Amino acid sequence: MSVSVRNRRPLVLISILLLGVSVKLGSVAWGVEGVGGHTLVDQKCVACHQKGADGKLDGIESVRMTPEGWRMTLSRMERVHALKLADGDEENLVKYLSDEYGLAPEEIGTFRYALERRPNHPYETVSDPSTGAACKGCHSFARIALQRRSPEMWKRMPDTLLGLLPLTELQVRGIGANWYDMARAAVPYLTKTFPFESDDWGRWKGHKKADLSGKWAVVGHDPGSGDYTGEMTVERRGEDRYEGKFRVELANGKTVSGTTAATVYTGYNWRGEGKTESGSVVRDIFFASADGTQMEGRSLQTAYGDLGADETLYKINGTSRVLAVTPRGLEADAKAREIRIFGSDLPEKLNAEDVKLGEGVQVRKIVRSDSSTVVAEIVVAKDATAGSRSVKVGGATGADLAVVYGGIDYIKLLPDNALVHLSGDRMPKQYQQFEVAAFLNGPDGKKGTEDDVRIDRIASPTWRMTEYYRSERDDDLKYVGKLGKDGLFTPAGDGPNPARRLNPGLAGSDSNSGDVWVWASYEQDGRNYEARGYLIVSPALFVFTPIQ
Amino acid sequence: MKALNSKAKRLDDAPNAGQDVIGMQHGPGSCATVFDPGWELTAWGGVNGMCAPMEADILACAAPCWWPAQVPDTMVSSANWVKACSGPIAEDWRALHAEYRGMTKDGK
Repeated sequence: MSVSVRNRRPLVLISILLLGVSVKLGSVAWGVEGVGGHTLVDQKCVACHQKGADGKLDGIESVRMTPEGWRMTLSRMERVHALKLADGDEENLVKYLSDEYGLAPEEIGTFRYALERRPNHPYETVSDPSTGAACKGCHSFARIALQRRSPEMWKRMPDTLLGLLPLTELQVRGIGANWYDMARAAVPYLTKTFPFESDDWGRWKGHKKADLSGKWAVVGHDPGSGDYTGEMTVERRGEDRYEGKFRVELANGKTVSGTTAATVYTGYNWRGEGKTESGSVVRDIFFASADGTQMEGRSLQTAYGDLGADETLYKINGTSRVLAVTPRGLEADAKAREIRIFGSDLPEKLNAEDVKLGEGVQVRKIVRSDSSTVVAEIVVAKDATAGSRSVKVGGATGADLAVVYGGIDYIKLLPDNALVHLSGDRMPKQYQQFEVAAFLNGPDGKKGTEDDVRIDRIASPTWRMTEYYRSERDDDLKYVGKLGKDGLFTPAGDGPNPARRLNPGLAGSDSNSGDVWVWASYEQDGRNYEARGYLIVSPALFVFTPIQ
Repeated sequence: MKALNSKAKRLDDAPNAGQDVIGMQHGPGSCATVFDPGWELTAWGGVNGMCAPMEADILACAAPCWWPAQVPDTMVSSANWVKACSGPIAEDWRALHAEYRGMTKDGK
């Protein structure tokens, strides 16, 4: 669940899931209606896949994937191999296959970014050069690294891929490389690194699934609207299906509430759909901890993940926790101010001395408090040490939840490298949300090093774009799209633009593509801060998959 | 010299029509297959020098060059994808559609 409020779209966001109830979502029922997954495999797959001497279905029971991976495989079976599935069959197959042949949490690891559909993921390096060369020309590495295959199945991969995509060799030859040789050279690395049999999976298969029903404390950050906190309550409705409601409070004080429903795959892959009271839909891609007390992931506000919020949920189970402080940045100005501390199972009765933010921060009084929220009046002394602060409420401590600062050292644009696709004319519109955060240089006094401390998001910087000159008459700026006052970039339409014929900049001439600088500036105490980021507006994307 | 066909005549007429002849400052320099770090880019991290316009060149993009993960494969997976265009693709590009694989149009 996440939420945001935007001008151009009605209220947005939040999430939560609703599901179970077999709400008919489009053409796919998310309920448990229909034939069970195991039976479906026997009915639908055996037409082509044979049982081997080991009793396993060839090509199926020697592969493990995420729910999204199995969905893509089924889609290929339908598209290329004429598999016919009734409504609900696909969902039941995905559920069965990802439960029985899924990935352990450790195996998803950092490749979660692809499942969360995060835009602008940084460049990845792969230690094996053949694997990097054979795979990453077209895919995120997560697309490969989220698969587990038997040695035989990895060995077949180069031929399978060429059979399905015969043009690959021709395409790669354009750069003077031989794809088939590279791919075959990658097989030993893939076999060793992403094996079908693994200790992690063996352990996870034996792990008892956690019950995720109950109340959850929600802490999120939406690049479009800032930090938010709230609560989600879900009940179990059948095996691995949950349904409930949520309510979150945004940085601007508005609240968003709605209903939510989710299916949990492989015991920890929470995939939910939330609907706000205003009718916005949010998709939750969360990953639950093994003990079922925490979930973490991304709440998508758009279908393709171009907009979304980071979210962490903590099961409210009697453990006292301090989770967030608003505002996060506390200026050392000796002035009284109110802060809001969010947590779960906080002590009902609090005195000022029960709340601590470290030396130099005086807690004057508790304005109000309940089990999830404490509003306190504090004063930060002018000589308080700048830096990150842990916050203590009663016996619970939340690490690095606030930052004391005298002045800010610099501001940074996030992301500072972005890529967005022309869209909206024929292809679905995709956006890029920028935000700006203020930073301290940290103990080493140097900007841009690892010990820098993020103070807080800057709510209303001034935005502008300038040309990134690649040639003398480069004029991308006129064409690529618009940057709104809220830092939201909306790309121009896809398709040829007759007004741009034979454009001298030739940044994908005749279309609106190009590259520009995005600037944010912010003035505080008479000092002007500026941050710059590079934005590429690329040709339209024509193929959409859950793992790009 | 006298122009014998219509193209030659257009060349003759061009200076009089006041049209500039603009030299391409970047020839198509890179197929996106070398995209690192993204399949939407050239090897140099920008969009300059990609074939232009991409809609006119979509067949070149979808087949022997560029974009294997960005434009549908027109041999096996989406053999009919470009057949939706009844005329020159640069003029009829609106007939091209997005393909959704393993997800629905609304992100499910």
